[in-house]
Amino acid sequence: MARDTVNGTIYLLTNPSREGAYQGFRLWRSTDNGQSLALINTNVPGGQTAADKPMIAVNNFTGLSTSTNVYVAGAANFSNNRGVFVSRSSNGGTTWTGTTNFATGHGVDIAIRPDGTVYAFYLVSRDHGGGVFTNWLQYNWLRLGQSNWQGPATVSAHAGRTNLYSLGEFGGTNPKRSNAAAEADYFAAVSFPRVAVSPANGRVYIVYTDLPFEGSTTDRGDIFMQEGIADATGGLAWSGAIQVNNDRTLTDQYIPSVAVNPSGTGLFVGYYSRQGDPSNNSLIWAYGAKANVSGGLVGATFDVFPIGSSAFTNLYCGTTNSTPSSKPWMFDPVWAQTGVWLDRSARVVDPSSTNAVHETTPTYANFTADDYTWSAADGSYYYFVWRDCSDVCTNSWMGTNYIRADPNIRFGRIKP
Amino acid sequence: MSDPATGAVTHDLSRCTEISAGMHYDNGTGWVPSESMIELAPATGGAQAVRGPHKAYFPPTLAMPIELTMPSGQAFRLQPIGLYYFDAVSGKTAEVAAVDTEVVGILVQPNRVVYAGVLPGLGDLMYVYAVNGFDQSVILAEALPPPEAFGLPSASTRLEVWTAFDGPTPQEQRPIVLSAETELWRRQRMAEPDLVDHLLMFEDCWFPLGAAFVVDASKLGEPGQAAPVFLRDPSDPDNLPVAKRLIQIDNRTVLVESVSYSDLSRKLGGLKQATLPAERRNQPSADSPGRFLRMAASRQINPAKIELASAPYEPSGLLLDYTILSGTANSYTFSNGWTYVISNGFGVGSGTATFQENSTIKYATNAYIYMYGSVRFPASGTPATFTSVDDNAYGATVTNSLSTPFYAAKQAVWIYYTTVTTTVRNARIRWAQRGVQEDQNSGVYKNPSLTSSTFMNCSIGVYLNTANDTLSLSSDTECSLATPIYVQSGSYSGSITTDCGVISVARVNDPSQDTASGDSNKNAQSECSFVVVNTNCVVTAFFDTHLSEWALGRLGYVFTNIASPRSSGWAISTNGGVAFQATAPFHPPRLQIQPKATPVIPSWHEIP
Repeated sequence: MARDTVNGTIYLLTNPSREGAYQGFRLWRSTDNGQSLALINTNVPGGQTAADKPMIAVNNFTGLSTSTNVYVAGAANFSNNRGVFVSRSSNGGTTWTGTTNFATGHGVDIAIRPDGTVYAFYLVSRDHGGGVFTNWLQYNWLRLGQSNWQGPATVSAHAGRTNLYSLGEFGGTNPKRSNAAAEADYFAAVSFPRVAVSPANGRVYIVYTDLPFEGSTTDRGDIFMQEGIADATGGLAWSGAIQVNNDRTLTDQYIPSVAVNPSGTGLFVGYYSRQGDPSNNSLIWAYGAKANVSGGLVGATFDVFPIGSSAFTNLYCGTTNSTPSSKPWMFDPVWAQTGVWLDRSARVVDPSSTNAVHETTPTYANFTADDYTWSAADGSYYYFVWRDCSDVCTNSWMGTNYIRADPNIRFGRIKP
Repeated sequence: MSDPATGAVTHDLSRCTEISAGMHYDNGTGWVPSESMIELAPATGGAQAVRGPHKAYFPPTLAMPIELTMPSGQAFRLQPIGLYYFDAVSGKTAEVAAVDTEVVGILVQPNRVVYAGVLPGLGDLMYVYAVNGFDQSVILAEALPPPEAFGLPSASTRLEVWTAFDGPTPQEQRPIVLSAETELWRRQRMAEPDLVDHLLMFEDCWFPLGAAFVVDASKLGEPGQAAPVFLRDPSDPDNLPVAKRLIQIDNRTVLVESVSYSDLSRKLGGLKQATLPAERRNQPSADSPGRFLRMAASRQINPAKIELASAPYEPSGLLLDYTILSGTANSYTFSNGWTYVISNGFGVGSGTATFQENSTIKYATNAYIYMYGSVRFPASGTPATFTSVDDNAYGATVTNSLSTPFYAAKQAVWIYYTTVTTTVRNARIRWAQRGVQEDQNSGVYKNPSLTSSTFMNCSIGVYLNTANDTLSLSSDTECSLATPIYVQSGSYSGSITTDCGVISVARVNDPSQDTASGDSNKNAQSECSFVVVNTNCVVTAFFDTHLSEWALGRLGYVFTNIASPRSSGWAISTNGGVAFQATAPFHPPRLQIQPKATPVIPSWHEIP
């Protein structure tokens, strides 16, 4: 979602219906502060195949030739490769122009600096076979008044190192169900970058998940951040990676999002963390970190704190606590009756089948935790939204009641 | 600049001041950094420590006293005499070991002098000189012979260390009752029913509560590194508190350290039993302890000379010590807008420690501030902040700060056996091993209080060792504390509430609609995004599994008869996110526009 702060229009960009050879995104628009939403475009930006990971942003800086322009970005298929694209609309999303395909990468996010420079940050994952990938962060940028995107340029993930430590697909750090779980019993937590820009000084903040070091087997995720300062060409000079979480435990942190306040002095990062369960590395909480970056990110001290008071169960969202004994870890995100889309290798109860349990190889269900959390800031507060599985519900299947973790959405408001 | 009395204040850079006891001294040409160092004194055959605000001289043998001169000019001559048993019931005394005045000391660089074997058959005496104080330790390498060997009962006997004391009269001797006999009939039969320590306060130094503990090389610091002198924690379970007092014996002042034999024997268990010389058995004396005293020789050329240790000194056994801490300030004010760095220990007493609003005190690892007088905190305004030197969130940034703090201060605010009522208020305490520690004497009721203070990222917020006293808590908050309150002794009223700055957490979607849709088994929501319209209005949209039979997903992609659950939910808050009004679940939009336009959550997971 994005909002035009000049005229109050709210935009909602969604995935297409995945039927047949599906194409671009759907765009919805609200002019009454979300009371209603109107579908205004069913193929954004047009010409894309299998669009996914929609991101949208509005240039809310005034006095520019692109003020109030809307930008979208996402992933799509390009000659059998997955890549990212960016496009722009100057009429509130009705039509799109300047669509540019970078033809590589995934998980793109958009950032707009006060001078009108637009950035697209994404993750590139190169398959080396055998389940091993090298991953790095990359970006392109479009300066105000120009028609050609610059770049790509890389963001070195760590000091003296371009690539992420993670060797999983899309930077997946693959947190396990718990420390005691089998090696293959993990879920995918991708390392897609998320970005925010200081409206006051134009500094760009990028946050991402990665392993604490290459080969880390117990701790499967820390949160890293960098600050980028633009030069005359629009390229960014990076601060180097700063670790955000300060738990000093061998537990997993993953899926961050970032926000900066209007004055550019306060930074907020929200993410999932298991630091409250250092022995088992199983229970999950929503955590926040905030810092005063008046003097820049380097040297800033993050205050880290829990946002949600309830931990998720060590069962993943949607799974049962009493599935058939041979499938105690079975994951079912929706408790399907007739329809559920699963991540690859997931297992699921299929009520329509006497076979009861579908599964594919490998043995374990490497499903996804979530691809995104979302953070925002205004002059008064920080805001964070996440999927929370601390509620429970009961579902009936084949005459038996199953108690399940109930995935719900929670929203936190936080003092700066 | 530096305080002549404390040798304390140094670098003054951008309203940031480093402050600790004895950091600098005047060498006659100006203020220079102090060093915890003892050097040979060839002229006398002894050793001397002269690179700090207080000076020390160690004679070749303990036939002569140790000499200490404080910055104020006050001089102490301390000559250990020996170990004694004292029966608290009968009042009888027996000599366990007299100091061998022929033993020549060795200098263990950089800052220890050891008189090895000076307690025949039992152990050594070790002295530590540091910029912030001085420490004498008896190190028992072998277990003491039982008091019964001297005709004394173990149950009521105390081990005493006697040191002839020639120095100024203390300004104050503050009693601390370590143990008391509560049975009246038994008290009436006892010569000394209570074991009482006395904090000895002098013009610019003081003797805090001593300790006995099992020691090995690991507790004496790294070889070649300066051994520390610090205020021992009386409630540390590894420490056995050692009482001390000044008494007169045959018109001489003697510093007597005392510890219960039965308590001590539990720590002596692993030591080899010492053999008692036959001539010392069964010689208790109640009437003439003075016969144990020897006259100190004056400093003179001695044919023996202290020499450098040829090997590291790595004792193991039981250590009993007394400590002299110098460089404390009688009163001190931490000023508004200034940042103070405490690199080791800093004490204020028996005057007032004042923390003005918006003052910041940053601690190195294991540093502390102790106060044994009054304290004054800001009644309102910006809190006084106590945190790690690596915490850049408050105060001036300290040079070489790591910006990623961990538990630093051993005790950020240490209220040490005060005789006045203390109130800690409007304090912001972060990244401390212990935020506030209150030690109080048995039978003392000062009703300390802690109010309107915040704790964040501390191992222990409040550590109580207040015997019978009660700490009052009010309007205090904590976030991310491993243990908010730890009670070693004493009690507290009130509580510390958890507040991490999270104003509200609300569930965005409405679970009742999971069943309202008629599809109760579709109840997963995830991947929410939102926009903040203003401080009241928040609009959210999220992935919702309701009514997913619309087959939005790729049919047959994984399972032939299981389609995608892509559907949507959307909710609005009109009170800043305190609560949301969720819409009913919607069919996922296909290519046609719905009669009432509805949103679809973006990006339910797909990894192609």
